[in-house]
Amino acid sequence: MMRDFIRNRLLPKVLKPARYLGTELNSIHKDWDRVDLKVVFAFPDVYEIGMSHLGLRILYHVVNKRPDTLMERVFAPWVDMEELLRQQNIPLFALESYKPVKEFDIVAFTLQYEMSFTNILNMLDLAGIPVRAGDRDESYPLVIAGGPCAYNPEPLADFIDAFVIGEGEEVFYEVLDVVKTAKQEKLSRTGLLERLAQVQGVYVPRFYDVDYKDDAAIAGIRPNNPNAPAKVTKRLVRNIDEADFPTSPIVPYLEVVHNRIMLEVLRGCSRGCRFCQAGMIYRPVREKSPETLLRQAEELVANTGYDEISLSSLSTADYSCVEETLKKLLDIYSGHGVNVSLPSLRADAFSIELAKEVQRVRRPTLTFAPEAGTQRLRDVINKGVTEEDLLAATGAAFKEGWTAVKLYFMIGLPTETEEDLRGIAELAGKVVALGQRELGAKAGRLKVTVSASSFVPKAHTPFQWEPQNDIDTLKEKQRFLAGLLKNRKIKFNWHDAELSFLEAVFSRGNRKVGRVLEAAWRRGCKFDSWNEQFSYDKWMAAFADVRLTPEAFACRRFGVEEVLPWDHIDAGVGKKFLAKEYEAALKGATTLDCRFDRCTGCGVCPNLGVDLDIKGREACGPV
Amino acid sequence: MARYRLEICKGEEVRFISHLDFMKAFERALRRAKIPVAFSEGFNPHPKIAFASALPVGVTSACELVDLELQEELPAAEVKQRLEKALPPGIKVNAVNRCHDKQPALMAVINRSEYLVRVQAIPDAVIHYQLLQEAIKSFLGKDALVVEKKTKKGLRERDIRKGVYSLRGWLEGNDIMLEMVLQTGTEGNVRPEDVLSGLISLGLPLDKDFARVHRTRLFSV
Repeated sequence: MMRDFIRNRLLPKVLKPARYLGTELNSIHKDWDRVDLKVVFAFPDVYEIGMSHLGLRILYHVVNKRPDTLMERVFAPWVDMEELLRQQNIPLFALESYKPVKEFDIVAFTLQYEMSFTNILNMLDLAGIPVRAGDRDESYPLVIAGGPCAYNPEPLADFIDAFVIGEGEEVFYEVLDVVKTAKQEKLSRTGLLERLAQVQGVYVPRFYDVDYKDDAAIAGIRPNNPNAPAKVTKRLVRNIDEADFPTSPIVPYLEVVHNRIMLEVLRGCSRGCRFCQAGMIYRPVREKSPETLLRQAEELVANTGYDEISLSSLSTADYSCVEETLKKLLDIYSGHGVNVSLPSLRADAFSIELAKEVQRVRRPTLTFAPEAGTQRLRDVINKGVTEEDLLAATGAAFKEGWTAVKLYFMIGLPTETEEDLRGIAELAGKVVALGQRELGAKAGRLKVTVSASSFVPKAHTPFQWEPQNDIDTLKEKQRFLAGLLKNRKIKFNWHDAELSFLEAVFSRGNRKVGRVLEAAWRRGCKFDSWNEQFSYDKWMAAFADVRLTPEAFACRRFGVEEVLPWDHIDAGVGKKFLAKEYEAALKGATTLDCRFDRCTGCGVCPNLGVDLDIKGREACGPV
Repeated sequence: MARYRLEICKGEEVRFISHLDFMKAFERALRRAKIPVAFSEGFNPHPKIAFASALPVGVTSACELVDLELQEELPAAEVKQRLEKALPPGIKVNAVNRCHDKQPALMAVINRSEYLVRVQAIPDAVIHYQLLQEAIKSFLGKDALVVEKKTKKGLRERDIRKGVYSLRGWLEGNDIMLEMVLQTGTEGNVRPEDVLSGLISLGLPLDKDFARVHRTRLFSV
């Protein structure tokens, strides 16, 4: 019995055996002989990160609700477990049944960040599945992928059979139906893919030909199969309030990143920050009603026993019914030792009011993201936060007794000058001075953390054409900033420039960078986003192996007239709108949020036949 | 305020869960069971749940002791019944007793554990009955026995002999069975794996990595 062997002989040898148990509360163990179709959700990072992912929770529930299908889970085994699996020749297995991943009908990867791509190849290989899609016939599982990075699927085009663009709960049943029928009819792999290509939101890369101008620029991309559409349009849930949301999620034993109830209050964000991919691809904003949230919260508390409800979204302070929902939740749960938390706050006084409401037992560090150090650059990126906002918010926070704040900035943004970097230090200095003034006797405990990440241009954003600063420039800026932030009260962190550089290669790359990915994996790259595992030298060797220049993808300004590698993927937001926003950015002109002002013409509503869904427009009735 | 003492099992399904995660899982089960646990006062209220002793990862137990304080008086049988419905696979509740508010805390009184260990010889080695008994006899005959012990500060040399109160062994098929009573708690703590290290140092070829350890009794002397 494989399960016993793994439990008795392998798990005692690994650092965190609880990653591989599969027996957590609310996990679903279906009888393999009584379902038609078996799917395994594959998360290309460790358990603790994967189990914090809301998409997994939703799809696990949606697929297992169907009597004819099952979904199990697999995560990237940590290096200690991988070594044992390879040594003992045990193929990668799914957690619930301990059956080999290779025995499933569908392996569904989620693409949350570019630097997890090597783990995808490694997991396929550990499962005994050929990494290249072209080497897999119908005897192998169908390998599909979705999630935010699927909006530029090209770097993975050689490895994934089909991408699902958009929101999974909307399209997954259709995919399951097609695969189930194909299985019954014993269709060939090509036959199955031709049917899948007809489902809106499904992209089958092998049915498209790419013409290149040179390695890093393409001349065009067109279908080579009559079943494949010229453009693949994303799928989305029209009514998030009525959408199926799991209220019996798996409760991990291990301390995972988000070990709490994650109650999604709304989807999308239309603030329109010009660097932000999530803000573009998840449009339009769709909210849940307070009634729905209270019902889901009640079921979640009863089914999980968690002591914290996190109101999650891209920007929870923007939820039109946030105050009353928060108040009601606190009224109901504070007596039961259940806290409510707000993971994403804006840098304004309103957010502090909310944070204050949430009389948390332990005051967390408050985090604000001004992103840029001067008003000029904040206008360029359309971050609607002023210095007054930030100082009002941090001032209120210090008054309320918070002693630690985090400030997030980005370096290497379009049009950035030395002045903007100085602005970061000046702003941080003002926050420190304010803290010392407001905290008085407690000023000794004041801590201001400044985090600087590096700008990475992303597909489907107004900055998709922009080059990234090269590594030397980024490092120089980091050093310059570190020199300005010499204050005992300030802690300065920055992101690894090499990693951001590779991220840009994959966020804007075409199919050719897939060769680099494979070469890097063959050289042993995996867990690249883990500091101790990342090897820049191996990556550079991989680029040399395939004779590609990374700078050509990361640091080149794309022409506005140029065909982009992801132009055939339609996120609903028009390319013309993105170009207009790009132009506005370079002029320093801001664009307002369509929730509070007029329509900005991004195109998502008319293109997809949807509409904003804001519950607070009519006063929320009594619950 | 009402105090209860519970005896719970940590079974096969949860043996690889750390003590901290095990406590959290238990706490969440109490919340699902809607058992009104009392909270401590102050800035950072925490539920009043006290485990007698921590179990190492990989160890199962038939007898973990937990003290609970509830906000209101509930019949012990009801606490047990509600909790049973809410516990995840592998955690069972054997008994719930209402105890005196004056009873000293578990942590303070528990100082001994009894374990049953199932272990095999390393590959290609054979341990016959006589060899086993000689090793045990030699172990118990020593006044001091220093082994490498896992502590919070890494590996340390420690004399464990005084913390071993009894040790006996027998064979079951290919398995060597060991029963031992060891010191537990704040005064000093000896783990079954330390005893195995001691036996190995005395020439018994045990495959320590794959030992199955089961705690059978927690008590105080």
